[in-house]
Amino acid sequence: MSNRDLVTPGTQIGKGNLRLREGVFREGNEIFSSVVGLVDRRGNSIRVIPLAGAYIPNPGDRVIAMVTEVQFMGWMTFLRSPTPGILKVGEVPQRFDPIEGNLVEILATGDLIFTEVISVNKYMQIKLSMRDPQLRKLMGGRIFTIDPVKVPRVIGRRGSMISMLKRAISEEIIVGQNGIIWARCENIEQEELLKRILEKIEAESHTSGLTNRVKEILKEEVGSG
Amino acid sequence: MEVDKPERLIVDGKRLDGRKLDEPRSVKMVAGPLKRADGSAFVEWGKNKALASIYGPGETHPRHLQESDRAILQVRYNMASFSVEDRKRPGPDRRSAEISKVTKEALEPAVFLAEYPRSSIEINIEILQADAGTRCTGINAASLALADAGIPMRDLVVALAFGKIDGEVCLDLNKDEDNYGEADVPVAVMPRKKLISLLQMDGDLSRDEFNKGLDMVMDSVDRIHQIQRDALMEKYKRD
Amino acid sequence: MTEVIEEVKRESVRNLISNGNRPDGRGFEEFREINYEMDYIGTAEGSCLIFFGGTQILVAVKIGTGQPYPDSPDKGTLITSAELVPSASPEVESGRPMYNEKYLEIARVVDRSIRESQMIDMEKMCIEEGELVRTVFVDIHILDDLGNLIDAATLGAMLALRTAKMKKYEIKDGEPVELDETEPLPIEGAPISCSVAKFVDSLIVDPTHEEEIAMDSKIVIGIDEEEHIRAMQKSGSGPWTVSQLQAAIDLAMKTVADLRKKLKLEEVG
Repeated sequence: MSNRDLVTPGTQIGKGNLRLREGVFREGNEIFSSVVGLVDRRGNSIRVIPLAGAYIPNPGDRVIAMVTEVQFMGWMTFLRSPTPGILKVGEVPQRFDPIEGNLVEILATGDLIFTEVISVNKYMQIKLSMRDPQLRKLMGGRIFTIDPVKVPRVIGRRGSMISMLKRAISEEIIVGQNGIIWARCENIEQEELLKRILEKIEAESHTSGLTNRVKEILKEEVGSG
Repeated sequence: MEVDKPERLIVDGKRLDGRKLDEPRSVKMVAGPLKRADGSAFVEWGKNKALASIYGPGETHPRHLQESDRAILQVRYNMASFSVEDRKRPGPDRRSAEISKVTKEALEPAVFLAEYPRSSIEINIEILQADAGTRCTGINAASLALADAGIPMRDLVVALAFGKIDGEVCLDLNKDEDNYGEADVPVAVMPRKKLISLLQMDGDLSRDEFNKGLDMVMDSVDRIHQIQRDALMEKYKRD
Repeated sequence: MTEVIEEVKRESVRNLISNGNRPDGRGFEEFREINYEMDYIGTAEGSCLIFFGGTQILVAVKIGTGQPYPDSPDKGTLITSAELVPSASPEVESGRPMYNEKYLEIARVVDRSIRESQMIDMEKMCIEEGELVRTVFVDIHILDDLGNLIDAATLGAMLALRTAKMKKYEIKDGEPVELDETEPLPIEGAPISCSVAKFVDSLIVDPTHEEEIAMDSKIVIGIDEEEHIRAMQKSGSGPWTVSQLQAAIDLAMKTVADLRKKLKLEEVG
């Protein structure tokens, strides 16, 4: 079984004394996958990155990503997809001098960015861009995660849910198609309220009347909805 | 509606639909056809059509059913009123209640329930079209839907029935064969170690006939397992 | 609190069995003492009060008349139901709806044993084809649940049916008329079931209530006089290997053969 192989539950992926991380289990001397996902073996540890609940990128998606590595002429980012997103220095608006410049001055490891997927090839190599003026580095704030499948519920029909949340809690809320949501609120209570509401939307996404129930909660908590 | 029994169900070693004695019906499986459920699967098995959906793990309703150290499976098997020739009254009945129970017991050993204490995993199986073998079709779909939902499992679950018609042991009876046959034995198996998680039988079988039928099922398990695996991997492939 | 007690009991039963012992001292292949009393209920056409050790079940057979099902105009009908009397088990009070599926399963498995073994000749239960047939109601009333309800109910139903008496019918001037005379049901055969419970690799027959809570799962196997398999039902979630299953069938065959000799069913009904 080699790295990045796609496996299903119950498939044998290794043997012996490997350190078990997520998505795997041991029976006797053999190690098996417990989920549908990609085998990831590093050194003496093994895991299967689950694909359910993962974000499958499409060109045009606007997502929130975190920079994980500064590389040659660009950055590697994490966006909850099976493979990392690659942002090349040519895709950011800032001008960069390859001889004098330092990429870290533009984006450093740990930075959060609001970015767009411009292409995905058959090996799931993801290319990102930040050329559009709406895309930017996100300062401060806090991030929340939800199942990417539930993102349409957070946005609501014609944006009804997200506009309600923005009015009641904070104008600065950005929902990424990849299920990562960034928000900058005035205080901790508002952050906690947003967290509770996102959890509620995720748990009740398959029910009807959700928008009204959220409206009621916002009325109670904030006096507006 | 009265239908006369065909004189023979097996002619020259072939069944009325052209199949050999140990040949299952054609199967098609799709993982994740539904957008709102946490996991889903659609299985076409011969003329059977089953849709399974998973919600959860989530809160247990009603509360008193929850287990402190593991999740519970709440299975609802239902036949749509239009799924059978003579329209069936909608809603649960004793048969669907029993099938829900044995389906739950067929899937439980495959799921790592201890990962989600006090939670419930809701499994809905809707039979849209029935042609005998619906409980097996439903189990195949539910197992696929559980994996589609990302719920950790020891193995997938494969289900298939054998029976007896015109005195011959056969695999996977269709409706006519089941009506006029002499035995029906649905079986569910976890393919990796060939562990049996569902077994029911009614009819008349000698010990040898039972053994022969069970062997037929076991010989087909790996092939159906591969169809399930392909369906799961298909969803994540890009062309 | 009851959960903790249940868990402790469960562990201790499993330990006992892994050491080759059962809580009541029986051998793995030993059934409890079976006692029965026929015609226990005068108002029913047939009845049997049956004991498997402490398990106590009253099976009553009522025979009515009614319309046949459209796809079998010349056959009588059979309806089997099982009910737990509240005194029988503390589970009823706790309101856990799980118990419903347990008793429903009992009714359906017993029903299939009777139906699929064709022990009642349903064509002889027809009074006027397409118009009037006999309806057989088998009501299983569980009085005390000390385990292995399916085997006890199956045997009780079988005995009640074999000794039941129904009113005769005659066609006079084209109309069915009920007579005062009675006749036995057209019965052939006597399926007997044996439940085999699994604990890891150990197999025991006739599990008590405590053993049922502690077991991995069980398989009920219905066997007729020709040693043909007539019914099977795996109940509970522990899975079985093929060799464990074959061992269970062997054990059931042997046990049922012994039971038949002991019960001397030819003398009943």
